[in-house]
Amino acid sequence: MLSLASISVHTFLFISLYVQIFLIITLFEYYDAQQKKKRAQLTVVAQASGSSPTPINYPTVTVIVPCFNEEATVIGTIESLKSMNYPADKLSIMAVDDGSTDNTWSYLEQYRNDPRVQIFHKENGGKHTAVNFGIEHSTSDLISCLDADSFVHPEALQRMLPYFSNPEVMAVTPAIKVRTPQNLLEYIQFAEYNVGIFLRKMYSTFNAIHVTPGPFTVFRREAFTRVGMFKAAHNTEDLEFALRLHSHNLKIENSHTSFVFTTPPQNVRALVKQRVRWTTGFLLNAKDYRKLFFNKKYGHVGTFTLPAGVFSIIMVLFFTSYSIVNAATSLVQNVINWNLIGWHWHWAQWQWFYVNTTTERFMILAVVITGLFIVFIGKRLGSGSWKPSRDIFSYALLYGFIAPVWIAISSWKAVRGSTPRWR
Amino acid sequence: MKTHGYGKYLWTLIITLIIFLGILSLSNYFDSKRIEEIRSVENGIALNILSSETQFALLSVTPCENLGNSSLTQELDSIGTRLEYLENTRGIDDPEVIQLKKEYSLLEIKDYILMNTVSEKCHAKSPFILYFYSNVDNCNDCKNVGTVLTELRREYPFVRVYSFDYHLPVPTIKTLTDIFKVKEQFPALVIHEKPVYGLKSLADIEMMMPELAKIASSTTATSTRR
Repeated sequence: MLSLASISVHTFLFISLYVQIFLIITLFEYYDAQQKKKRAQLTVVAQASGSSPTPINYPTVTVIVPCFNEEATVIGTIESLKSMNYPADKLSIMAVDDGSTDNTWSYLEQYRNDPRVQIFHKENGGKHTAVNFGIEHSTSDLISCLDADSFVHPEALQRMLPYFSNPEVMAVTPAIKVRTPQNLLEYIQFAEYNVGIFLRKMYSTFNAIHVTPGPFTVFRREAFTRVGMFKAAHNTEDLEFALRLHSHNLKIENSHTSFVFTTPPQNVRALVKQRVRWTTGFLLNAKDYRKLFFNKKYGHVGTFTLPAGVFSIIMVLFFTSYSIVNAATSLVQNVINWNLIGWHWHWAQWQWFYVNTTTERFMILAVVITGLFIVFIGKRLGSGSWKPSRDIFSYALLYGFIAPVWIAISSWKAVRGSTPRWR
Repeated sequence: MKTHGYGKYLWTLIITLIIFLGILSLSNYFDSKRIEEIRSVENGIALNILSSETQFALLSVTPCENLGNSSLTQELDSIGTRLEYLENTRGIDDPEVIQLKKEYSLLEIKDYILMNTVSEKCHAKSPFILYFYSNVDNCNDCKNVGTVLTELRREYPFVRVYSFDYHLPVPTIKTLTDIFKVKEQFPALVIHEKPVYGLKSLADIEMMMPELAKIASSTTATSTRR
């Protein structure tokens, strides 16, 4: 007879496999759609050859850079924006100092006479207030936000424009990458962000992106007039805004070649703190927008992304507890054995009879194989290469040990309803 | 397959189910291979029982020096370990496991009787331990005594340990518990034909069986002289 633990393990593994296969099917559908699109474009080009090219009508864009104690990176962020390949008269940069207590403002003052950069200083009120301040002071067609620790690829904005040709699209998210990884923690995050690029692209194919990231999501001005401005939203305003767009049945796209480079946390403590904020924010916002869950009226974000996100958190908690209980039981048993028979070490003789061929083991293998496939696809999308590299090894071997830490803390905070601090 | 419709959820479910059923079949295939191996072991047991009976018959005319270790004894450990593994993976209620355990128990009793007869005839000092455990009330101490006895067999390979599931419906086991007056209290060990109960460490058993050290040292001395 199957035990409750065994039934739970099989159920979790089955659902995990289901989610991963869903994403892989989406990938094949995406490639198929891309092929058809390319063929259609070739036909159009063939038909239009000889005629003069249509001039591109660039929309006006404001990029808001909210800053709070970002003296180390803010100049680099603004310079990367200035270097973007976009008509200078159509692009304005707006740096909003949200009451920094370091030298951020004095660094910003060097742009006082720069016609492309506007600088503002306000009382500290949180990131969402700084972004809202910028939106209120802008008049452009498109509005973007770029965290002051991130840097854009020169073509990032250009590559987003085609998505806005669809009037239903209210926001276009970028592909966020870790800037040249230097240490083990950065390598782990490098692979993780690549997986994020894959997920966001796949979610975008069925309009199920659940977050419009702070680093360089571009919004149509109309989005704010239709759904309102940013809110505090448990310190994850980018996640709440995406859910709000979905609750109004508006579309979010993804431009997976619009690269934005972010500076990841440099130590485990900072990483855990950041992820606790993200994960708690996800859980609390998911609770606030629970009406989206399994409601076809709001599309796939409610029938896939949000349930899959909550499920993955429950699954990590389950398997972590399961592994801890098993490890503790084994440790106690070893101590008992040591008391009973003393210290003895024997090499186990390999025999096929004792190889674990249970359904549980094969299911784990299937989940790991499909998971690795997704990691490699992420690598391909993010870095253009299939080659196994240090980031993938680090991610595959270590991520499973550190992620449960912030997932456990976040779950506890979410149950208590406590919002984590930014820093 | 519609690209953005909800039909994909059903398609995914069908594909996941196909993979799951494939995994189930693969796992069952390996299990059937194990069962084949168990069958082969069972046949070996039947043959060994016959061999044992023949040895009994020969005992009256065979000189002591020709009666080495019973071939049954050599197989007992490996069968016992496989049974334990199967109990863990297939469950203690699995009919195949129960059937194998019954035959294994009979094999052990046969070996026990044979080795007792050999010891008496040849005046050999063969230490025996009968071990009774139970799967009924999740007996943790039984598992621990099992570990102790496995280590004891490693340290003293000449010790014969016979383990029996007290509640296995085999009349011969009942006869054995009646002979040694073993109560329904687990784990139970029969050492020097007297039952002792509860968890015992390796040192406890060595203390209860001082002959182990003597036989071990004499065996070492003999092998050194060789």
